[in-house]
Amino acid sequence: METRMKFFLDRYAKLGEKVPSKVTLKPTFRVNTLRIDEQNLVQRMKDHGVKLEKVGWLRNGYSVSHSKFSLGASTEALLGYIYLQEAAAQLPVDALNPKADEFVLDCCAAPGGKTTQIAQRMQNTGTLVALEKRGHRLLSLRNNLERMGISNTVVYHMDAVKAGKLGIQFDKILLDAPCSGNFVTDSEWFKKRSLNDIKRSGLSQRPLIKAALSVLKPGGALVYSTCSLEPEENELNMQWLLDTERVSLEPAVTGIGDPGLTTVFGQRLHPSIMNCRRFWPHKTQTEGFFIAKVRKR
Amino acid sequence: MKKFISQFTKQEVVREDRVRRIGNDYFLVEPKLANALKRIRLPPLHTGLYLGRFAEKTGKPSLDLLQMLSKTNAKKAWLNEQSAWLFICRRPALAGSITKNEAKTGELVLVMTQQNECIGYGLFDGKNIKNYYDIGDFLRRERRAKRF
Repeated sequence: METRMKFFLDRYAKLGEKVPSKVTLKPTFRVNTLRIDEQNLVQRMKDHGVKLEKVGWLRNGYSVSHSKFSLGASTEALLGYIYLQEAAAQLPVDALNPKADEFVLDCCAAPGGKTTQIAQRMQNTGTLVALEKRGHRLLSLRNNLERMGISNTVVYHMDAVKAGKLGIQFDKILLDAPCSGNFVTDSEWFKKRSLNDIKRSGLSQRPLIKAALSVLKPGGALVYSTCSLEPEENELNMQWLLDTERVSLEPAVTGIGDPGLTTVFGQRLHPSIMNCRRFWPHKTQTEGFFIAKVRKR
Repeated sequence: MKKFISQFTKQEVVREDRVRRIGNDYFLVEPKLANALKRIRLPPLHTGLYLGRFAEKTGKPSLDLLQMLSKTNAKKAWLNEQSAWLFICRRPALAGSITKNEAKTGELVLVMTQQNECIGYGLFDGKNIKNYYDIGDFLRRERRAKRF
């Protein structure tokens, strides 16, 4: 394990970051304003002795510095007032900026954190299509849609690679792609991962990106995100996309994170990849994350 | 679903013309969403607001259906904070913890928190409320699924 950890930490150093092998995060949640007023929720939590801090760069996000009980099993969570969601994972939906009455696609939807967040931003209007390939994850997606009171969403048990079968085009698309993950949220990560896994994962994301673009209206926005720190799943996929499709990259998120890398292990990438956002856990106090906002020309 | 609702109230809880059934699952689909769905060629697994799963002899109302029922003249009982928590953990509501009760012996009753949120329903036996369903089921469902 030590060798693998060193291998990855050395890789990050080659990308310009001295990353510690362990970063501890505070739990965070999002207030579901479809069900409760934010101030009301904050007061309820205070009444229960929960110490909260508003995360300044999130719209409805709070971190928990002290709680005597598990928030995930609290009455507030079961009533759909909150969704336990990592801070960085709340940002792709900000980048997508879905509006009321739009037609939006969520490509890899389970367990539904971002799906329910999109619906919240759309004020339960318009149409949100949620696709999930893995049957065993549909239960948690559907449970979360129910718990959060989502009424504008349609779920299909479908691989997003086949999104064209839906026969429609979308205003906006979120592709939070399956990825190799990161060491912050998985203590066994260094033990489990190899460079080959990561390269394979990066390549497997490409058909998803192509399929998503094929059902995006011209001028529409695709937000691509991963919870990986590996360039093969992030910047290198964006370079491949710029090389093969008529797209441009727009600023994804402001106020937090680092610009996307434009030099990766000696390879120079397109300067617009700087518009992407990379979250180094030790700098942002979040899990490792990457967000790109792609505009289809 | 109609049969389930009728055990609590004769009032209209959901507009029947907007209810869509997929297997034993029921959904409330607003006209705008229903129109949008006409553009999609494939049948969905889940659509609109979930109302619950109802078969011949069993019924599991959704969280939203419970809240809708609680806004009708259905019988309700309010529990103190500690007892509300125990009810969510599958326990019955004991007589001493019920702060107000509209149900008569043998009637089904919606179980409410002090903040007027419905957290499940049960049968009032003249003293206690036997737990028939509570929102802690969200957690139990996922645990059950992980076991298999």
